[in-house]
Amino acid sequence: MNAVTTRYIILWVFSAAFIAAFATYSSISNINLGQPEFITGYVLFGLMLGLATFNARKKLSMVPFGRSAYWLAVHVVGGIAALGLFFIHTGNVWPTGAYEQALAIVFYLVTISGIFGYIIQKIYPKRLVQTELEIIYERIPAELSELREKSESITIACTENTGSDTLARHYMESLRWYFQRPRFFLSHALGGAAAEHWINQSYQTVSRYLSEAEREYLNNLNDLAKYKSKIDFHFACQSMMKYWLLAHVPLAAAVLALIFWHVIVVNVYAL
Amino acid sequence: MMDPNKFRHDISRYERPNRKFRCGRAAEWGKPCEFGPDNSGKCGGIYECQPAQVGDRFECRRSTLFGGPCDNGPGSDGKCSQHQPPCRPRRSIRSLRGLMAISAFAIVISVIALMLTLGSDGSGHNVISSAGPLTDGHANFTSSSGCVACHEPHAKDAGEWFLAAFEENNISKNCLNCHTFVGEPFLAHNISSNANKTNTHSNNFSCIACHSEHKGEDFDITAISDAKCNTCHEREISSFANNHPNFADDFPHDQRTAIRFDHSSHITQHFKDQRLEDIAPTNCTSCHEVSDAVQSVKPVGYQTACASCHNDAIPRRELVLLRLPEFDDNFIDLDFVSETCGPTLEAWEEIQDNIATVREAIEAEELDMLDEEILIGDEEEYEPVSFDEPAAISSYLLRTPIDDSSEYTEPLQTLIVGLLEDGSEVLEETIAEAVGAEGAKKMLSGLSPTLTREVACAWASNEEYESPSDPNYGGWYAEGVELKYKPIGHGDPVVRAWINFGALSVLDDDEDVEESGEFMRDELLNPKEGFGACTKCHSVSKTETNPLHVQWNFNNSKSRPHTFYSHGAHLNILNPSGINLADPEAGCQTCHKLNVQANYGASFSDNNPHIFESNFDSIDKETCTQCHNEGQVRQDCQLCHLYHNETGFNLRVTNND
Amino acid sequence: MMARPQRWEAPFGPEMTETEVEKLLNLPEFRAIDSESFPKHTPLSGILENDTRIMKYKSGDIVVREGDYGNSAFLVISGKVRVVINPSLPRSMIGRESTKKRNFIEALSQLWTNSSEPELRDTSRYGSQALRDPDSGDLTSSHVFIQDIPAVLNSHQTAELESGALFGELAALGRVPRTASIFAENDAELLEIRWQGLREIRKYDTEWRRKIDERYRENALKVHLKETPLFSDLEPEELEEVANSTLFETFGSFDWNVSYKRMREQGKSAEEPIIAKQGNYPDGLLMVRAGFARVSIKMGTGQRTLTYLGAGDYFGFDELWANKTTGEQSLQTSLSALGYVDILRVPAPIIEKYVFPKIKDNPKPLLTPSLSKSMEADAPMEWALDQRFINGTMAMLIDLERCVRCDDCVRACASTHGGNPRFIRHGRTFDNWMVTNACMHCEDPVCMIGCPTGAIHRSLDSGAVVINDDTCIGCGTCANSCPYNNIRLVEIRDLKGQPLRDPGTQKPISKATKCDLCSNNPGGPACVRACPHDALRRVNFQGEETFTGVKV
Repeated sequence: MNAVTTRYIILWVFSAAFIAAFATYSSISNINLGQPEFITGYVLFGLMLGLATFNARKKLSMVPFGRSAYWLAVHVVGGIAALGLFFIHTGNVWPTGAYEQALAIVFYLVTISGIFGYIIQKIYPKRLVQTELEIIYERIPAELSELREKSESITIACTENTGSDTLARHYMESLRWYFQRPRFFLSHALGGAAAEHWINQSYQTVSRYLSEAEREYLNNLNDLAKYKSKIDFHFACQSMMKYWLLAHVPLAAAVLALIFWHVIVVNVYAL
Repeated sequence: MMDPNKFRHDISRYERPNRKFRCGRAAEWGKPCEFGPDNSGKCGGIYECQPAQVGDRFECRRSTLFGGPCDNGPGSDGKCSQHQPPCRPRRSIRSLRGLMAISAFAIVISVIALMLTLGSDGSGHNVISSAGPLTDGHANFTSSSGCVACHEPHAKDAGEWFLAAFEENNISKNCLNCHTFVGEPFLAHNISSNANKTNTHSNNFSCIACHSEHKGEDFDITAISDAKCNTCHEREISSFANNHPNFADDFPHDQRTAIRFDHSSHITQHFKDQRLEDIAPTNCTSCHEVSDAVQSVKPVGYQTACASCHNDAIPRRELVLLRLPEFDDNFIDLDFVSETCGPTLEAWEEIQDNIATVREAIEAEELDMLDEEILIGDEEEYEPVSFDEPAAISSYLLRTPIDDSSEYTEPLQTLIVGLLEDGSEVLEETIAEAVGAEGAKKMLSGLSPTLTREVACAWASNEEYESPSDPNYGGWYAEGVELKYKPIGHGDPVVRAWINFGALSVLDDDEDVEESGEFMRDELLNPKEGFGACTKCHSVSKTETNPLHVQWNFNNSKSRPHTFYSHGAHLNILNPSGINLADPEAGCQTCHKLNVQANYGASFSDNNPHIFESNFDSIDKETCTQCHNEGQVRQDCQLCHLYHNETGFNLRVTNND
Repeated sequence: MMARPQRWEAPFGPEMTETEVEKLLNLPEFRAIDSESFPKHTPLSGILENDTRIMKYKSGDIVVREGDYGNSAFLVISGKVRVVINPSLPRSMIGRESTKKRNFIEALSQLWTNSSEPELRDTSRYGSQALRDPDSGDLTSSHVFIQDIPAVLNSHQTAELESGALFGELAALGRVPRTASIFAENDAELLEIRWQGLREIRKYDTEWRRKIDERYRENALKVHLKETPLFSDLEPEELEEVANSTLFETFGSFDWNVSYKRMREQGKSAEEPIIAKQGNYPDGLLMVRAGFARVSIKMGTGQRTLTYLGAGDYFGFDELWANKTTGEQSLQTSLSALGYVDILRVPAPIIEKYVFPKIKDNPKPLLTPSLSKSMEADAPMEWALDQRFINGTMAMLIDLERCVRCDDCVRACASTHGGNPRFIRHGRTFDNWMVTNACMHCEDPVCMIGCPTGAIHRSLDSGAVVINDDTCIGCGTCANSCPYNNIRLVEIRDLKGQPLRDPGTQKPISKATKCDLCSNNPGGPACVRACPHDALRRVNFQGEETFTGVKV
């Protein structure tokens, strides 16, 4: 068991104890006619700020602030703990006030997006390894462009050497579309085989019209298409692993802004 | 795996994911140029190298990273031939994310700011400040004044509004603008200091500690969990069925009934009497109005419940106000009597006799004999018409012993003379001395001066009064040597006044007077005699301040401000079809079980209201837990217990101001 | 007739002419050599023409620096050179480590001082280093030089090396860092002989061999033996005996990296000279003094690797022991050179005489545990060997099943290097493991061979291989040497973001860059710290648990 796993276990235990302690405190305080919302609210507020510092930590990687892996462990466990604390704080799943409802829905979205991100980040890397290909996200356009050039030159060579434009026509009709840019994003992201199916279909469609010589070129194109499918898969998965943060981070910023006003209003009106 | 040679040191640059922009060509899936946009997002690469001038020629200086010197080389003007039109760089996903995060924060803040200015009446502000809709009741009452009704800072200007965040709010005090409580509003159970209670009871509790608002229109703002009760109460009660203490041994009969009604004898004997078959009640509800009753169940009243049997006895119970007793002597000036009353028949006959005697004497011319006969006959022949004792009331009023004629003769004769002169006025004055004018008037109400005077004339003349009319209608009347009152019916105010007079009569130091007072009270409150029969049913209590007290009205059950029981609700469930007395296991008798063994009557013999043995068994917890237990019907604290003392509203609220 | 050595296609000193070779042959050191003893295809004149070059140093120029790795020896032709004995020259004087380690605040300040434009340099810094001819990119004329020679002579104990003195041969032949700095006191002319030439001369001339071996035995061998546990108990005279009878041999190419890199790029596996063959009779204990050797056993049609040996390990001990105790046993495994290997062969009788008597308990067989492993379990090690990652002491190993490709490591790297990443998050993969294009800080840092200014060197405190940006002249020698493509040249800009050019040639000015393990920054490698998914580690491939993730 490595250091990070150990910390996850410690954190889960700690956070479960933390939530249980607050649930107990809240119910005891509540029947003692106290206002547990005050304490749980500020602890939740502090926890949310703490979770947000994970983003700051990423910008401060030049100084030894502890391993990011530990921070993530705290962030993940803390995020789930925040959800628990949220329920304890509101005593409810859905608040009654319009503003609180807005706060709750954004909070839930942040939590859901976080859990979603965590899950795909657990699943996708393993799937990416299974492609037997590794490519840097930023280099995907160049690689695709190269593939496109190659596929075009194969097509041209085919026409030139065999004198038949069947393959070229097929290329213009369908393969060009495929090589243009990453395709079948959703299918790749969901683990479907749409791309493979499309490639096979496309192969069969044109194969019957080709001579042996031409088929040789088609086979080359087919290899490129299959290679591109792997790149597309990488593009889809790596994109997903980046896109979810486009929801999570801005929503988290929104939650913080919403919390600030909530804290002010509560202090002005209730406390 | 990608061709590893693509990462050779001399042809592959570092990837720089920390940069904000990426090549626009790459964004359109083309081959990115080798330069990349600069940090302000401008396309950085138009020419691939900056050729160097060597002598009069230009030489390509393209870096090996970009493939080394190009084939074409620079133009004659020294410009690089490898020219690309500039692209439109795109933000990196990460940079976009940062922008979106800042925007999201800013959008929220701006929406809040916008809401604060929205609506001339501050409705925008309300929307983002409200914690949720109020309960219906509160929503209606606060609609005119708005949030300020409870939240004072709401109306303040921005600066003070914000500063209020750092000040303590006391919302609960605003509750009292509308709500009233008997007792201290913020003390536990509204009970002010109580030495027996713990410190908790001197703490102030805010209303909002229990009553949470803004939880929606239909939220039950008054629901309190049992756990909350248990926090303060030393005895922790997990549930009613489980460990709620049993009720007191005499519950709910811890108080003697005001009306002495023996349910046992009535139900087991009287109502079964064949003669009463038509009028005897068959249901409890014949006498007890339960269906609308909440905690206190009142009987339907005398007229409906009792009169049919007991009415006849009432007029038979008479009060003797005055009685002409046996006198030792007669101090009454008969001349004055005859002057005032006119001669009585007897006197007139005597006068006629005398006149005849005189006439005979004159005729017989024996006048000396005449004088003698008339004068001596008067003096020697005084014989009282009555041999009774005086009435106890008059003795008490005149403060004379009841059996010593030498003592009472003169005052009583004076009274009779007084009655003769002024009618009942003198009597009224005498009573007024003891109970005040109003009481006296009430006690003598209906006593006509004529009757008084006629009676007085008769008695003064040492004659029995002979009533000209039939006394059966009730009211004041005289007969022979007695002036009496006959009750008109149940609830006769004169009767009640007299009995109260008897109960209240203060004992005197004088032994004789005390004796007569006791005698009078005995007569007035003795259930076997006269008016005293009222106390057969209307219980008499010894009290601390006054000697005795007669309870005329039905007694509400003991005040239990923090408990609650609805008879009506239970009746509907126990036996909606009717409560039959014949079934001792059903209806009211499910809880109120008749106890024929109980010595109900004894509770009243001593006039001690604190000693009471009910006709009914006491009700214990098991009676309730048959239904109110785990899993059947409610058994929470709030079902039977009320936290607050009597609650109410300020009039101000209901007056439309 | 055998062909000329292939290396002569690229002579060491292209300017060498026949007249100069003639002049050299007249030097006493070469005159004494019997040129007849050389084979026809590698005559002495040919060696001098192709494997040597004449280096001219100006007064104060540093010839070799303490700690340098070199692949050549020097013969003083004329002029005076001095060797600095004690104390060593300050590191700043020999062109090393001009930047000091940052404290926390300074490290934090990179948050706002890091440039958003790539590869900016404060060019004013570059003047402070005494660097001769820095921009020429000419390896033979760019030198770090000492400005104040008398001051050095006053404060350091030095010794003069006169004409005819040979130095640097130990570093050249034994692959060990140079032990002292040597500088030209006045203008001097030196003959630099590359290791191939030196090896040939030693091989064919008894006098040179005697001289070189004697010095080697005296200076290095005894020390090395003494540090080996097997010999640590020996008396000085016994050790002397062992040293005298020890044979030293080298296997593989000294610049194995060049051919390996070529083969690797072509996707072929490199040749591995056999040092000892399975089934042969063990004639002595083979001790690895430098380099790496593979221990393998026949399996099917191939060789299965059991383990590999690095400096300090020895081979054949089990068999020798078996021969002495239970009877004859031939070698159970083969030993082959991974790249360059320096072997000490201690003859069997010597071992039996001096070592075995001191062993009381039966020693545990060294290879048994390795044999029980499954092929699958061994596969990562086979890969690491094939890829020569075993050379790395701090290779960046990424577990691709955890890595979410977030590039936090790259950004962290940039944040500690002025906004510039120093590695590419890509590299060779095996299963879910990737060794990225980040400097591995090799055990055998071939990159350091041939750096003209000594800009690339081992950091004294961390042992990390670092480049002094101030003295780097951008020649690319190191980048070309690195078989892993982990050093990259960048074209630098001034602080305004304008590309810097050589005023004369108008060529962009480049600097070699690579991972320096954040040695200037507190807290160790930022990349490891920055990985949120515990996917990235810096590993020493010589550890047993490299892939299991337990040890870093």
